[in-house]
Amino acid sequence: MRTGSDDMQQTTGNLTMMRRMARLMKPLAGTEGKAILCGSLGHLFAVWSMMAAAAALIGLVADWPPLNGQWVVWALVAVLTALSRGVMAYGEQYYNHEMAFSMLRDIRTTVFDKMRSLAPAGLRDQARGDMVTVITNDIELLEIFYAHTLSPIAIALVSSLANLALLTWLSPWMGLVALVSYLIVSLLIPILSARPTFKVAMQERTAQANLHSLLLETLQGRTELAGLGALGNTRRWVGAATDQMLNARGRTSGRTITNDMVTNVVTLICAGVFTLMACYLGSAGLVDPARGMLGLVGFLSSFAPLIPVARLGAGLQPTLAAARRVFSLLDKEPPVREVESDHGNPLTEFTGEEARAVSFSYAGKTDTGKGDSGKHGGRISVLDGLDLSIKPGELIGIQGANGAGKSTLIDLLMRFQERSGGDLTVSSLPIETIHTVDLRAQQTLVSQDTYIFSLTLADNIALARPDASREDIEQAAHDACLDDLIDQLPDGLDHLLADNGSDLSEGQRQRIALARAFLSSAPFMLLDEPTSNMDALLEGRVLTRLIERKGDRTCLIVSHRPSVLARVGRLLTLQDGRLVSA
Amino acid sequence: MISKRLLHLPGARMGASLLLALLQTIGALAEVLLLPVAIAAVGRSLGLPVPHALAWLPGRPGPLAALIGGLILVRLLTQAVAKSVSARLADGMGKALSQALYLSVFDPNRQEDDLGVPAQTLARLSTEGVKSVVSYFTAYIPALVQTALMLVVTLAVLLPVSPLAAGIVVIGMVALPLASKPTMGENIKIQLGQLRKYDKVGVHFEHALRGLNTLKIFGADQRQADDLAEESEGFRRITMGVLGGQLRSLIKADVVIYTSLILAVAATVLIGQDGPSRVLSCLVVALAGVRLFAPERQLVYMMHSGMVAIKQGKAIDDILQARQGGDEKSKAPGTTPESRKSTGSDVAPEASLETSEVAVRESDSEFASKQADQADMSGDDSLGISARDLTYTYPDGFQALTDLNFDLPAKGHVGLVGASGSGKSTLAGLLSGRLQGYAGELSIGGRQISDLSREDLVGLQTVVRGTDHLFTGTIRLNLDPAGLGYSDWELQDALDQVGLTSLVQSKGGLDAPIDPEGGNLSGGQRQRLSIARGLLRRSPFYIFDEATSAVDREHDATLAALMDALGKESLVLTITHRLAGVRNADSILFLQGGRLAESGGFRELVDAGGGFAAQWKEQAQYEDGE
Repeated sequence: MRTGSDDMQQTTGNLTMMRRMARLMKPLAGTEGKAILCGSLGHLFAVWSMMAAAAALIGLVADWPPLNGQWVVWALVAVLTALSRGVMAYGEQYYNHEMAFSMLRDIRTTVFDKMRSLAPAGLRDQARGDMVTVITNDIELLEIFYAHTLSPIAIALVSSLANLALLTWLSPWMGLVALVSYLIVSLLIPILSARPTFKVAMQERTAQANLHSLLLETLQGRTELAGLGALGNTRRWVGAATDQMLNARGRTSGRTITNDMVTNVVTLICAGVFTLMACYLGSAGLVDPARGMLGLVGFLSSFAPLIPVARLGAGLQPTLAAARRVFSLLDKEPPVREVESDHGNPLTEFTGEEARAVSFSYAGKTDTGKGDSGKHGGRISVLDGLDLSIKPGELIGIQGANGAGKSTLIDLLMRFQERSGGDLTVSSLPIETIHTVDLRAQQTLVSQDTYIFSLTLADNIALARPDASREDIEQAAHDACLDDLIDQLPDGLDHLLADNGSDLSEGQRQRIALARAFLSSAPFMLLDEPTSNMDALLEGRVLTRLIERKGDRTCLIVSHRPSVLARVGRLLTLQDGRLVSA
Repeated sequence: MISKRLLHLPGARMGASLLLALLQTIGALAEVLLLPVAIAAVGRSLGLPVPHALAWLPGRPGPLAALIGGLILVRLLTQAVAKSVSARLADGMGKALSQALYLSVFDPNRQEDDLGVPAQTLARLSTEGVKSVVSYFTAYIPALVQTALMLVVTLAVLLPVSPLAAGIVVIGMVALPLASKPTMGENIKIQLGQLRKYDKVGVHFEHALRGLNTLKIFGADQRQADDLAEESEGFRRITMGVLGGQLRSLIKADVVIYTSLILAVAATVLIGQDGPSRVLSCLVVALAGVRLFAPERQLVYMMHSGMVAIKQGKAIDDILQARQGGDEKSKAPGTTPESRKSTGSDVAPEASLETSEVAVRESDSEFASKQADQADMSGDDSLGISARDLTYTYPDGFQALTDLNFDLPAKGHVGLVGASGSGKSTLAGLLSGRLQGYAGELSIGGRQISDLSREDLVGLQTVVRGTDHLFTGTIRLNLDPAGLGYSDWELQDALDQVGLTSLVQSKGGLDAPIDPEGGNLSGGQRQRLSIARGLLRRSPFYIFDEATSAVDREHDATLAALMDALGKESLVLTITHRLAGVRNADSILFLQGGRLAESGGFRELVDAGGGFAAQWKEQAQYEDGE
């Protein structure tokens, strides 16, 4: 009962998804048409060359009026169609892939754009390995749909109809057997194999993605695991995930092989039945030798376009599973809507940011069914009735216990998340009406998850302002107390840093983040625990430099360090969802 | 193209691949034989003269149907057997490769930390890479070998019908690879370029994804998206280039195939001696010819996946070789070199599976042996740490520690402080065994650390760093990654000591989920959870390396008290750059420029008026400003 409805859902889900995938390719319909034309002709040429050869041979030796004396013509047709078959096959493949790879390029761009709109708040619950799998592997698998699904179906349809017409003209009986055979191979087999295959294909994709994420995590956390004496357990853990994936992979390839085997054997049985029938037609005198032979030769060589369709049942499933993952990412609702520059308000200066009765809550995870008597109404409140007035040039410090909502406050001020209630304005404009580009130009953040790209140190800093001059970059580095690092690196500012700065200390990474903020010309700087990994002396120097160099910029520092908070102009405490003066 | 290096990979069984090729060839023979049978049978019933070679065919429908059925049965059986052979090969290779590639990395006896490649690369090779390499053995090699075997099939099928045609088709088959040879080198070059580009684009996407938050802060994400779009387009173009090359080989293949068939048919018509029965002979040549060429034509399509597999296989082999080299260098006793070498193609998988079982059994006893060790050592009152003329120089020549001399008691709270670069982390690394090759002496409980195995050290000590990883899963899993099965009460107690009880309750208990990298916890909460995880181990020696850098003030005091209390039962070494954190420590080691500049109690050092006192004064000036 339940599985039945699941299957139904899955099938309709797949159909919707295929329709959605197909809709994406509308702009490339012309290319697809060319692929279908070339493919159909290619397959028909292969059949026709055999039939023409048979006609020529029969015309040469036998005495059958329609072919008599025309064998030269038929021989020529056979040679020409045979030789142009390769060209047509080339065209089919070329146009198919032209279409598919253009699609993949566009989908990749779309998916990355989606991830951009989700970041940072919308991506926190996603495993990184998982997202990498989506943007590389999964998208690649869509190629099977775009290059090897639609056009093969169309090609099978066109060429089979042509073959059917020809066979029926030769003998209605032959046409009938051909029709039944074609239906079995290209309709019945894919339909029967689709359901059982989908499940295993989906399992394989999920198992592989799980293993990938698990490996990434355990390999990166191997030192900790070793230190905790947990390596043996981790191996069992990873081993179990490996077995799960290998099993799923085995089942999927088992299905695929079985499907191929069934297709192959059914095709042969159809050929056998056709042969026996042709024998009967011949001995009963229901068909003349030329028609009988032409029909047999034509039928025997007419299955090629159907094989890819019969395989679709198995071959398409991994693609659908991948598509499901891609689309589920594309369907995620971004935490904020970006404001494009064709509507909303421009922002050219920063004259303060104001929060009035701002609240923020999020939907809690409701997976524990017992005990919890839903008294939060399913939502967890983080900020509630928060007021904050930031004046230009101020240096504000914010403290609060772990988990009090400091990071959420920064997300709201930066508009990485949308508040649930209250008013929030930047330079007296509602924050949600301001062009996102302008908002980013006015505000910058030194966050705790700073990423260091594998670029030179200078380029890493220049990320904040690509048109910055060398002097500006040097100044920013100096302001962030990076001089000792520059001296230490073999090529100084032009030293190529390792991926995510794995050759730097946490404190050095934090200073690079600061240098970026200094370089950006944003008048409002938010700093989230900017010195948490620096020793006290360095922290003191960095803060002194920050206060000296900030000029008329506005700064908001979130920290729990007394040494940091001691130096701010105004100190606020985040408590019970609101800010109070300390 | 068969790459020798791939043949030596763990779990690779050339024998199985050859068997697959043979089975496929027999199946193909049965399938091709159907054609002359069908043509001769239908031809006879239509009254066309049947060639001598096919005259033996039964004329009556019954036996004819039996013959056709028999051939189909052969085809079915070969495929069914091939399926199980291929499944066993794939499973064996999958297991052997995962063991060699990553499961062995989690061997508690492994000495070195270096994976040899970034975790990302290793993870990718372990999933996609292994899949691709396995298909090289289950699909690519069998197809390649089958292509050669098809020459025999061709002779078997066509020789009786038309020897001349058989000769021409065989020549065509041999000539086909030659036809595409001139462009082969060029194609391979483009393909390699494409594969490199593929990796580059992949890495670029990954980096962009990981740095997305940073990019967004500076409004640089649009620029990055444009760059990536451009790169994707470049990748598309080079992929089309690869495809173009491949397809040109396909055209050439088709030209060779059909030219050979036309010539074979023409030769049979013009020179054949069978008289009128030539018609059927020619049809057999034409129809069977196309099928006989099919595997070779298919191979053109498989070229690319074969190349990818070879590239991935070589990357895997590089890792295994490098590890083997590393193992030999460090002469690690725990890893059996036989499992890596796998020279005998048929013995290898069994051997490596066996090792994996042995390793698992060893790890089962890991816990027990550790407990024993622990009991041993904690019963030993002399479990203090002592350093004599301890000097450490990094491989790049940087001397981080110089002539350190100190003694730490078996119990107590010791602070290790100093500015960045003073050698704190290096000393911690030496104590935990992460760094090896010190000069001088460094002993724990009277035994040189260099003489203790990694496992012994892990049993003796717990290192908690402020940057420690949390794992996707539950709170329980993060507290007990070793699967030791602590009771709920023990877990609650540890959480209580770091002040996490109410948080865990609000999240829904011990089985509440932890997001990737602890994403649903704040920095301080993550650190406190890491400390609770360490506390549960009840080891005689603890190192807290900047373990509380993100902890808020409310919990700072809780944790400081915790350290002092812990110092009553164990030796606790707290590494910090915030001097206030070690105010109550029993003694303090103050490092400066890799030397032990001062040591003693907090007051003592402050009163001494040395470097420590100066730093304390400077920090206090910042901290007391509030």
